[in-house]
Amino acid sequence: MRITIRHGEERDVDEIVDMVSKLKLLNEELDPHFKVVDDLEEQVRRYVEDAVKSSDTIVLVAEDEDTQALAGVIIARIVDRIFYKPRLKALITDFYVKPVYRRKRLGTLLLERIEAEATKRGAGILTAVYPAYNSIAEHFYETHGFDKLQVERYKPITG
Amino acid sequence: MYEPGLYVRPASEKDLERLARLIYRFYSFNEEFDPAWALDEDAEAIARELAGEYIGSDDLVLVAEYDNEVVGYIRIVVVENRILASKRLGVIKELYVLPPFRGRGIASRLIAEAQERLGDMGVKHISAEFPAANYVAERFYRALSFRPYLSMYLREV
Repeated sequence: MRITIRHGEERDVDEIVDMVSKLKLLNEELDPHFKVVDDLEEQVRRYVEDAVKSSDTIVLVAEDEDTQALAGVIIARIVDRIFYKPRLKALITDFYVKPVYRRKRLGTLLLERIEAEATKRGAGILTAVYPAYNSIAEHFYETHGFDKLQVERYKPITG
Repeated sequence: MYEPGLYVRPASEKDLERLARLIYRFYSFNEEFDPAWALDEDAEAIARELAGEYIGSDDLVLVAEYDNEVVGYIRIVVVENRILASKRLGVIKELYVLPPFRGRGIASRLIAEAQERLGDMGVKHISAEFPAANYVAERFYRALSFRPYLSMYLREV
């Protein structure tokens, strides 16, 4: 299997939408606080279309050269931390490798490449957000040298 | 103990579409935990075929209706091994409740109802199959006093 890591383009939108939608559905499975909206696919499409065009977002895809199908995607946004140094961070918001391509180090390849892209754009740190109960992500980032940075707590507002 | 508006019954033809959706969601969730559970490209269509096959089969297939909407299901296969004193084992092959309906005791109610029916069939034990890395399922079954019973290892050929 030959894999190419490259920037996501408009022609990739359909496949990226599928993967990001699956990621959101997985989050819903792991924690009901992440209940997805009824028009999930439409919302994801809008988000992905903006992401591939945006100058402050990095979208990388892993492409299976044999089938031309996408095997995974990683999306990170460059954020200006106005109070802290280094000012720029790359925040990974979406990261998905199709199950059939797992255990082949694609996640590591995508992560290494996004780190390189983030560096090119002046980011001094790389961070990631994911649901607290997503042990798959937790394990992945821990084994790739990520420390815990901040905590987001949740409380429903009932009015 | 259980929420009002919850009703568990055997799956029937009228549940076909909803059951197919639940089967697909069950497998979609589990494929996240191990590539050996990765889905076929036609999984959605196959889930529909499976739903048709499950209904009216020898498997024990129950659905949970919540406020008249089918929101979960369980499929149990009874396996026999006559050399064992227990003879028959009920294996939960699939159990799924839609995320917005979790935390209401629906899954445990499905198991309780199935267990009652298995008891009537003379089945003494009930077990559950799920990917080894599915910590959500593991936590759930342990909370219901299930214990590790069988190990299954796998590698690529």
